[in-house]
Amino acid sequence: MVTSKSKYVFDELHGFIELGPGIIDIVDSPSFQRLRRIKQLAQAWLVYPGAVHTRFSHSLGVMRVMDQLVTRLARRGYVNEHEALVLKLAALLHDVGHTPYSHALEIFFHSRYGLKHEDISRYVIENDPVITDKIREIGADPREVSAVVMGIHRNTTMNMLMSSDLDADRLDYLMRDALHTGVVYGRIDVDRIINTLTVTEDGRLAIPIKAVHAVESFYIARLQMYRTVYYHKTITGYQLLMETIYELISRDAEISHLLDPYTTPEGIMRSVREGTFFAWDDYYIGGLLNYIVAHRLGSKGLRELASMYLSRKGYRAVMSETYFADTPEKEREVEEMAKAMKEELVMKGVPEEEVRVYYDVVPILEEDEQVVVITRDGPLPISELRQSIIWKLPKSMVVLRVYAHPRKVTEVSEAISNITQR
Amino acid sequence: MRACELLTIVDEIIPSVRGFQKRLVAQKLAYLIERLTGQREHRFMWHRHGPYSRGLAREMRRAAPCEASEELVRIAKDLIKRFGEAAGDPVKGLEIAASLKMLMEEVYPRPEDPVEELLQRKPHLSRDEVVKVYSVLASI
Repeated sequence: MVTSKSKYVFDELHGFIELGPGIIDIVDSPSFQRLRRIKQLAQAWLVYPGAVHTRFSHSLGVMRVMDQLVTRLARRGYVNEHEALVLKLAALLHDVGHTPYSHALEIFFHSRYGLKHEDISRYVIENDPVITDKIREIGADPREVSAVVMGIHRNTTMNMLMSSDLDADRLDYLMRDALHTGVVYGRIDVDRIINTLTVTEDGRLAIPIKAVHAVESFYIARLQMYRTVYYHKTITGYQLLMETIYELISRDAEISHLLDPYTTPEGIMRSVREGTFFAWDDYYIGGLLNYIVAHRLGSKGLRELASMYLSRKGYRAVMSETYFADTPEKEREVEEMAKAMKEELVMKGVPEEEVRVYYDVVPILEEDEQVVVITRDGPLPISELRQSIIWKLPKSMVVLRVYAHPRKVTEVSEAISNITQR
Repeated sequence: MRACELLTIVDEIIPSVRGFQKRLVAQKLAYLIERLTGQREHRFMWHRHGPYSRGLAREMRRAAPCEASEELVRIAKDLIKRFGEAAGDPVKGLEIAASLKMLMEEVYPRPEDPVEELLQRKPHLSRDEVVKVYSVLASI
């Protein structure tokens, strides 16, 4: 049975967010409440102490933004009532399957099993003992909701509202992360974007040219957040450290069982069906680190790394470079440098848990998902609009770093010098 | 299946296609090869152009030229020939085939008639082209 009344939650970013009938029941479910115990930015609080906001508030925020978007688009006939409901539920539940410690553990599961949090979210939406039935009771099809989350809904506009350059997810997290880190560069004119957004004949999200400045500020804000928060040197260092620790735990015969059942896709799915998925949160993994250190479990190397993480004495960035690339050649050049460094360090016999090479290419604009601007001559992707500064933005940001265990800093620095001087 | 191999294949078999269009064609080819051979290496969304993988798009952007494996070339040539002949044009054939495949097997809610669905979505296609490609797809 669906709760008939509405409740209001006060959100630090959006103000009051209404939780309508049925939505409250989903929010009250154990699997959704779990999101209160998963930080949105995992390790960012080690640099920005205020960045302790959770995926719970973010999910409510995305639902609120989506609600605003669909209300506007519905007035213009682009979205009907049923689609609006499905979109709102997809927005609410898009992160329900997120791994603890956000991206640090996602990389582990993706590299081992090809599993991403969207897959887990889909499974939760379609199989959770509480959420799935509540979705049906509200009058939606769980599979349709998960289709939007996965980007495979029949309606491509709905897919873009959930996942594109200018989607509800990004419109919330950029502002929320900026608020909690205190990084002012992340602030955007979200009201103008929401109130001018429209849809082209072929289903693309678009804005009129008079609103282009608001979208420009969005792209620039996002780039600045990449540089100052999401790819911050220290934050990515702790992300790598957590990845390494998790990998070591999973390989340690003495203690790997402590991660069960959340070690394989099958185990995770079983926990969803059995109603124990809600226990898998940041405290579970964080508490495990405490337990390992306190009870001296696992290998010496693992215990040392866990202590380092808990004491904020992580890897040191021996080298850190950020490049802006307009051509793939630059990206490839940096990738080759990263490979050469890894090979050199392997040759020197440095254990992989004591040195990590970090390389990533961050697109500044997604080629076929960017916002379209309605001009006198018709719709144009924003990167092709010559009056816009976006036209001059680089295509990608490339990050190359080498992190070392504090006792290996000198050795690794020398190895890196040898490569860069060649 | 590497992104560079796909681009090499498109370069060799459909050299008239360049730039962004080439990458779009490679996306369709990748989708068909993966799904028809039972692979799930890339995650595809349902997009206005049909199946689209953000991860694959990023890989293709920075892919350096490479040689494609013989097996991959053989499979790709076969698919491009079959669908190209059905649609009268290889680019169109791949677009139609990949879109129909995704409509039939992954897109939800599943359309009752994927041919009609595609024609509504892409009015530049003719019914004859789409029906012929559908028949080829059904026979594979």
